[in-house]
Amino acid sequence: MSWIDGLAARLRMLFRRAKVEAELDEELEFHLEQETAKQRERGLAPDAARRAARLELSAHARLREEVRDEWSPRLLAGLRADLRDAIRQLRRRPGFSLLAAFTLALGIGANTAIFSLVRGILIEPLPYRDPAQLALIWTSTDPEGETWLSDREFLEYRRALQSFSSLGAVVDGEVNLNEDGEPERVRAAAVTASVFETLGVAPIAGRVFQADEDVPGADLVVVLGERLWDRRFGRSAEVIGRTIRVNGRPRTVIGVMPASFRMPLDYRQDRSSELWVPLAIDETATLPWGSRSDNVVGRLAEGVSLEQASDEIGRVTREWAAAGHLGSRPERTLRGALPLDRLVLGAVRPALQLLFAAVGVVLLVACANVAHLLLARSDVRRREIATRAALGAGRARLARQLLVESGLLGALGGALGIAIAAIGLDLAIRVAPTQALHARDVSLSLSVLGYTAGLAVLATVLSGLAPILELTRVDLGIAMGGVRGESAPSQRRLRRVLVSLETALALVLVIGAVLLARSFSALKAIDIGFHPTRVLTARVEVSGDGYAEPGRVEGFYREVLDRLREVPGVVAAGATRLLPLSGQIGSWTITTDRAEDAGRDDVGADWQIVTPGYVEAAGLDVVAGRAFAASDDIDAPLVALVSETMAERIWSGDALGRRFHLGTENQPWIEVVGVLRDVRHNAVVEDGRTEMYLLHSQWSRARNGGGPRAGMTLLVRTAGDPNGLLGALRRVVRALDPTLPVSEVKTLEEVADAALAGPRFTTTLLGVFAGLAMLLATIGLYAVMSYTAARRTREIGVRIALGAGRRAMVGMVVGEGLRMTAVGVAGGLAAAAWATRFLRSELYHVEALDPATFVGVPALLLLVAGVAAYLPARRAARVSPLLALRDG
Amino acid sequence: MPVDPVPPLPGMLDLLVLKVVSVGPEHGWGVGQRLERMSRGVFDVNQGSLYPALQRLLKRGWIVSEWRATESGRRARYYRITRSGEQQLAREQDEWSRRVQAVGWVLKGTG
Repeated sequence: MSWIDGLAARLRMLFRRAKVEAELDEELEFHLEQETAKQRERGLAPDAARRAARLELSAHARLREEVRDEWSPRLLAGLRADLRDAIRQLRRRPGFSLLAAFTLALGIGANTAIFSLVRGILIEPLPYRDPAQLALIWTSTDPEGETWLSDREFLEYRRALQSFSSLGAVVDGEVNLNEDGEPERVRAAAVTASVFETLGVAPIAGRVFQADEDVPGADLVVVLGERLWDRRFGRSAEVIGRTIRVNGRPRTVIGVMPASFRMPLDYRQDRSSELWVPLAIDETATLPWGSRSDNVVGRLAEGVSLEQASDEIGRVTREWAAAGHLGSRPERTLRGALPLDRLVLGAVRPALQLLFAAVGVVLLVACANVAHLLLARSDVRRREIATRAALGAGRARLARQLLVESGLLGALGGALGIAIAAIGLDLAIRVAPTQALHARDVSLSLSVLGYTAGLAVLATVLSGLAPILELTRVDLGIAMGGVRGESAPSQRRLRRVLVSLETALALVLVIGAVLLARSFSALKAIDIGFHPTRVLTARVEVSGDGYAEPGRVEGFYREVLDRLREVPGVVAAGATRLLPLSGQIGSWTITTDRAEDAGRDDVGADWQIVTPGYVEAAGLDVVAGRAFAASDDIDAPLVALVSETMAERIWSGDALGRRFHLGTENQPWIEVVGVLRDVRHNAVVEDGRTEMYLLHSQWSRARNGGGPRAGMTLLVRTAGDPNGLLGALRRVVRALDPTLPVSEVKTLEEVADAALAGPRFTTTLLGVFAGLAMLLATIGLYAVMSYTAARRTREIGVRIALGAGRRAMVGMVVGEGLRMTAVGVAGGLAAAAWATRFLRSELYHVEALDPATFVGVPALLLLVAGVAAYLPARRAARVSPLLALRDG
Repeated sequence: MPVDPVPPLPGMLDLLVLKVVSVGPEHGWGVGQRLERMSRGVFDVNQGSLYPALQRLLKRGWIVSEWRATESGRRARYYRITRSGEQQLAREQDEWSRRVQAVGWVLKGTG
């Protein structure tokens, strides 16, 4: 086979170049000998013969070169020369080269940074076996909210549902670890043994729970997360089999899960669980249908679709409702299967897709800008190119050389872009909404860098295309003999198109960014119902035998708060079950004193548990009645505060003195003593909540017994910097109980800010990208205007000499710039009207076609364009006519 | 009658070298000598063209080379035609004959 023979010979040459050349040398030496011998036979003296032979074998080196040329692929050899040329060209004008490379680097860097996020979060599969098969049993009308099921419901679903091959339940929580070093509070979860199997993740050491370990009595085991294992136990294998105390209870460590492992709901938290204990359910007992605290995750059975699973869940649930098991809350029957990735990525996906599209636009603008620069320069090089063409360089040859030049710029841009991406990614992660991000591996990995390389190639082609089209169309006559200062009409057209295109693209981004910014400021303006400035918060949970006695837990918190109030600078101190905007509060069924509520079980209220001082510390507003007082203690009459919405909905606003009790059974009545302004609890954007505030000290009594609330978040309002109080807070807690960890130390302001992290992330990044695009577009316009103005200096000089006013000349040039911009603005407005529909879900209190934005932004853009055109125009008009004419 | 040697027409050298090698294995210098002999002294190939031509044929796989001892015991690189080289030679010979014939017709013709 001829081509195989040829290929073999080529490969040989490629890999054994040195040997092949040595062979060639030897061959030529042999030739020389033979030739010398021949000459001698003809009668020449040995010396002369050799000289003659050598003469014939002249330019041995050149021969070698030629032979080698036969081998090296022609294209490659040519490329090497082009590359040398290109480097020389770029070096000759370092300012131009740097500007072009940096422009591309901005575009490539921004894209690389966002792509790292997209890859790490959206593309990379979740770390479970076959994650597409995982789903949660969820309220289908509220995917962003929370759905809790009771143990009973979990068991009944597991029994009834055919759509799932396995189901597992998870109950979120936190535990104290106070052996082996500093007391520490870690996120933890109680899980059924089936959870690990359902998720399909294996431990890195030891084992996970067995089926007989999630029953009461056999459940004193614990599985650790790798990070916790590392942090507290130094990765010691001996810890497996050891007994450690978790919340004071001894449990045997049986296994360690990998650091990448997350419980599904962890993706919504700012911290992941690191320790798991069995969720012990007594299947032999008759469990209540209510009391919901489980998240249920399942693996779809082979061949079952999400829709089928949802249908089955709905059917089973409606049967329960018909049998009266679910009370009369209608939303409970609306359950279905929520795909796991939807839960994890819910709000993150559209934001990232949006930003991904936006950076793509930035790259386009950057490429258009570099195309400008190359065009401007190619004009200067017109003669050179024309000369080359005249000397016989083919179009393809010229195009290749230009492509190599822009390729070099692309490569430089790519390399610089990686550096920019590294910085940008760091910044992006800093403003990113925590949940999905911190749990995923977002980094400049190899595959991301591959993407960057692809972008560099794309940028090369995009930015090199225009000049190539243009230059290879050079008309020899005009280029060589024509008047300097005139450029081909086609080129001027191309520039105008580029400027218009850049303007349009930038306009789309700026409009999007302004819409988001307006939406964000509307979000910021929402009254969240509390005053978060100068408040320090920290989580504490009492545990251990010392708190078993009735009243001990309540006493601990009263004491802690009393001591905190004595610290200088403290204005108020209180504690709460759950800070607003830091978690889903959940609803508790209540019975009110309204006649029509008798016998109903569908009245509920968000259950908030607080201490006296909380209202003052969090800065809640009392609308009517009073806040809690120190005298509302453990033995005092049961009292409650309610939200304005609750007062309105249940008692038509007149709530003071009215009563309600928890549950539907005979629990003690609680009197409403005050009404508080609504607090945004689960999200910044939500309807007013029916919320009740019960006293921590009375919680146990209000439920007819049952344990006190062990975990509370402390709030300390200060006159000065809240962070200055951290030491005092730790000292106070340690003085009362040195084994208690103080965790989740944050200011209330940080808590409130975190609630807007998502919109802040999108708004900030889109703002940066829009600013970048606008800057580039302005630079592009300025460059083109400077160029045209400079080129038209002669024309302007003539006109002025003939009596035209300078102002008219400025107007002429500025008018040209504005016309280009206006075309872009028109196109951009049309594009924005279409594109902003994708923003709609991200907008709050702003229309996607917000008139103010759609008028203001183009006006601003035209203004900037006017300035960018005016400066060079003025420069050109100032020139003395004489000078202009002589120079031309 | 002695003739002044001339170089072969451009583009023809590869065909000639291939033909020369097809006669039997030969080293580079020998190829040059044999070509001169076979053209009865008309073609004088300088080695600046000969060796690149040999390399081109090698590259296409029409000939292969091996190092062997000459009659005088000197090591030299010998070239030998391959199967695909022989096929190529046959093709080009036909082509050449057709061209020569066509050129003849044109030059003799009257239009």
